[in-house]
This record gives sequence, C-alpha cells and structure tokens, in this order.
Amino acid sequence: MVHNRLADLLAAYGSHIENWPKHDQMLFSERTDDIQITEKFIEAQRLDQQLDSFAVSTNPNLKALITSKIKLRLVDRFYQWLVPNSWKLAWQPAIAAMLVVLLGFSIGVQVEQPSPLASNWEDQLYWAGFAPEDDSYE
Amino acid sequence: MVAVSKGNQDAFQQLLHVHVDAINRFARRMSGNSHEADDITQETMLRLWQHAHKFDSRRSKLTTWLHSIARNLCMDHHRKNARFTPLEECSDDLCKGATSGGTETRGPEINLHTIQTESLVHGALLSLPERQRSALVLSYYQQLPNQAVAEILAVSLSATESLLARARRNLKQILDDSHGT
Repeated sequence: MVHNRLADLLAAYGSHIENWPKHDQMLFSERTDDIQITEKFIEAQRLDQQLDSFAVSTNPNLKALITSKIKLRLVDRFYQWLVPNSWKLAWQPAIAAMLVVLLGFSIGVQVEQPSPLASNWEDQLYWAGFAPEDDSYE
Repeated sequence: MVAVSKGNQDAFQQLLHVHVDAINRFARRMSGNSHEADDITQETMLRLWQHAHKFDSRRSKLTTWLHSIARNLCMDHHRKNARFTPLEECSDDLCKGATSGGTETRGPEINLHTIQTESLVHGALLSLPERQRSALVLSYYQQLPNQAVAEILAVSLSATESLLARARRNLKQILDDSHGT
C-alpha cells in the first residue's frame, strides 16, 4: 500500500519531497530500504534536475507599467460604479439618473420660453398688424 | 483587498509588489514569448485592480485567484494565436534568470549546454497538452498546494495527481527523444 502510494507520489510530484502533500511527506522515510522506490526516486531526480535548469527572468519594469495604467483607467472605474454587477448597488445608477434629470430640469427652468403668441410666421404677421407705425425709415 | 476594491492605490501597490513576479514567471513558462507573457501579467494585475470587489477570500486564496486569471488569459492568447510561439526567445531574454549569477565564470561550452537544456525543457513544456502543462507549472514551478491546483484546473485532487503524473511521464519521453536525436 505504502509502496504504491510512494510510486504515485514520485510519478506526480518528483523527488522534491517538500512539494509533496504534507500528510504524505513522512511516507518516504518509512521506505528508504525499498530498492524499487529508490530507483524511481533517482529517475524522478534526473527529470527534476532538467526541470530546475529552466528558470525564467522577470520584467523589472512591469510594476511601473501597471501603476501607470491604473491611473489611466479611472474612467473604467467610473463605468463600473455606474453599471454595478450587484442589485445591492442599484442605488448607484439610480442616483446617477436622478442627477441627470435634476440637471436637465434646472437647465430647462433657466432657458427663456418663446412667446406662444408668435409661434409661427402667420401669427407673427397677424400680430404685426397691431403694432404702431414706425416712421423712422421715411 | 477591501482597500483595493475601494480604489486604494497604496494597497494595490503592496499586492503588486508581492504577486507580480510570480505571475510573470508563470506566464513566461506557460507561453513561449516574453512579450506575450508580460501582456498577460499586466492584464492579470489590472483585473485585480478592476475586479477586486469580486474576490471572495472565503472561497479561495488571492494567489489561486490570480493564477486562475493568468491561466485563462494564457488560454485566450493561445486561442487567438492558434499556437504558442516556439522557442526563438528562450535563448535570450526569456531564460536569463536561469543563467544569471555565474554564467560569466563558466566556460562557453557549459553555458551553451545550459541554454540548450533550458530550450529543450521549455520546448518540451510547450508541447504538452495545456492542462498537463498548467498542472506541472502550477505545482512544480509555482509550488502551489494541490488544493489550489485542483481549484484552478476545476478538477478533483486525484485528477490533479493523475494530470501531474501524465505531464511528467510525457515530459520525460519528449526530453529522452530529443536527447536521442
């Protein structure tokens, strides 16, 4: 039972016992005299050495790049606030919509309404007939 | 994370400092191209910034969540590009970490041998099926616990072990074949 489990562990995790699941790490010390397991261990170790040779570098400029991008993406955050994913935050678009309505209303109040008496050219001609005569052009 | 979800840039900087290199190494091993890997890393960290409110610490660890995002992005890039770019960059910037710290003191033959081994291993990794490659990189290189690997791959613990065993078996086969040729 232990033999089979050890073979499975070596096949899956290799020879770095510290990478094995915690509860299985003690198993290896129980079977140090098992020749088959020792052979499998050496075989796994050979593959691990090759895997360990493939180390990669990291880009040191990434942090600065990402930091500069989050500052640009404030517009995205406003969009997220405006269109939330949860119904619990539905008050956010409601507030935004209310503000737009209030803004429209306040602009509408300030704009001067045209006289209803002169809404088209026929009315303007009609009312012009009542205006006093202007002799300034004579 | 709560502070990040409220737009606290200092809190984000701290998380960035802790996680960015690990995610970058993961992306570089998963893809064959350092520029693509850097794009994936940036996008992963920007998603952390934008979607921090979606993270639930009761369901998973932040490392697991970030690796999950990065893996999905790697798969998206892979689909867009149809196949991963092969090894043209492995011998220069991508593998510098492997040879840094002492390459100058070693002879040119040993240096060349190291670079060849790195290229072989990277090539072998890229030729594995995506799930096997993900399992191996997450478990062996990123040293994530089994539970986290299983969560990222959306499989059971026993299926994760099975994927890892198949990945190592296939990798050994590919490397033995390439050494033989």
